[in-house]
Amino acid sequence: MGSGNKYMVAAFIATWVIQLGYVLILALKWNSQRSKLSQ
Amino acid sequence: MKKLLIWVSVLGTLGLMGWGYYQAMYAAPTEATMGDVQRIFYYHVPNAMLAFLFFAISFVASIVYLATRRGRPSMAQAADAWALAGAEVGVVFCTVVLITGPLWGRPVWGIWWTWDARLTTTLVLWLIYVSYLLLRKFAAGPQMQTLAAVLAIFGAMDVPIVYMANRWWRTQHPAPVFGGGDDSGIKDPHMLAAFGWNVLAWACWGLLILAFRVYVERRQQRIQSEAADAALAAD
Repeated sequence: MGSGNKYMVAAFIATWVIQLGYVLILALKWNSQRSKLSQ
Repeated sequence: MKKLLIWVSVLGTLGLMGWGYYQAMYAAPTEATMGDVQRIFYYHVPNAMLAFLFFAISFVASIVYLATRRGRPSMAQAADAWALAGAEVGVVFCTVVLITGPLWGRPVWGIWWTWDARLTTTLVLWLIYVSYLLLRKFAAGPQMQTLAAVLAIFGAMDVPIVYMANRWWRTQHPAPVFGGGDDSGIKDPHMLAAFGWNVLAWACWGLLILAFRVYVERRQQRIQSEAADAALAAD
């Protein structure tokens, strides 16, 4: 990797914030379902 | 056995993502004119390809839902879960495309955005599927799933238009990397390998998320069905 272009770094961070943010939302929803199913 | 398979899939995908990152950031040579900013390509293009795939899944599942909703309701519910999952995961990948694109365009073109055919049709695609998700979130009643299926089918009509936009019209967006005539294709073998690994890694990641989303939606359907049964029993 070269100088670590700031746009490239921003794109990398943005990609993973979106992807992992979505997975987190899904995981929270899945977790809330577990309590509903166990009731 | 099922748990083991899930863990192998998750760990294998994470390993592939790490390898893809190494390929994109270190193994692939720096592009001569654009420099390091060209490495955004290794994220941007696979995410776009997968967004197309997920919208196509939503399209097919919506057709199956409409075809089976009267005669085979259990199959229709499964198809509806796939349609929703495809649209939702597709929106996530399309969002990545719409953010990484301008982050590449600013240093290379000097502008964040331009209303050319490829960019505009991609934004329209994203808006259609966001409206699909809003419909599913806020509309109620027995017709909601049918309306959503119709919207997903119409929305998918934009996918081939997005794909063909920089073939049919003169665009600011670069010419197609693949399938764009004799000049298209990645010439450097290291760049091609980095691209291939990233497509594979993102495909595994995306399909894993899609499977998880379908699983969550199927459980949601079960919870709603049980709640409806309980309400009927109480009456």
